[in-house]
Amino acid sequence: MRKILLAFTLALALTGCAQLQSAVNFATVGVANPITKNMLYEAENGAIVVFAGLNAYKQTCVAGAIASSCKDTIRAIQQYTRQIPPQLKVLRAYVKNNDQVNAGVVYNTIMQLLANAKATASANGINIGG
Amino acid sequence: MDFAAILLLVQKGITIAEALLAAGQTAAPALTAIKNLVTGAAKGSVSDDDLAATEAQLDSLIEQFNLDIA
Repeated sequence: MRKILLAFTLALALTGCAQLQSAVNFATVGVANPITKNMLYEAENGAIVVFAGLNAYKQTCVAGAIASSCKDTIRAIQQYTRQIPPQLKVLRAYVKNNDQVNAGVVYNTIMQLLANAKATASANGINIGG
Repeated sequence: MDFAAILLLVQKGITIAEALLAAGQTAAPALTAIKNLVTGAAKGSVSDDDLAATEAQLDSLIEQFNLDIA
């Protein structure tokens, strides 16, 4: 069980990396779109690792390998992760169309949702590192 | 590309993959993501096909986690 929790902890710790956590600063309107296709690619691959960890935690929970309170924890995290897909769809469109400013706004929204999911996990006793 | 940031991401990804394997979980998605990051950094730019593949994988993983838990 400790190894399973460690995997989950480390997965969520990935949200501390530059691409996933740093908010893009938009001081003025009209600046060149800072969310490039490369940045999107890097962020999404980082998110893949995070969700790989989350799914591993969920699998162990469903299997009954950890305390049943894990289900409540997962539902609490899902409040945030369920908001991500439509935001992600919008972000991808903005980036591909080079929509200035808007991509950064949506990117920040997604980063906040990930941060909230991370905070929720931490509040439920899952140690978030980094 | 920000190579320093990518390297940090790869390092953390490797740590996570190791932990997943140690816990008896599949690390395939994590390893694929790490490979994508390294490959992308080496090429300097990402193709539309590469981005589409990553997006599809992420969508699948998010959907899997977001499914109701009984």
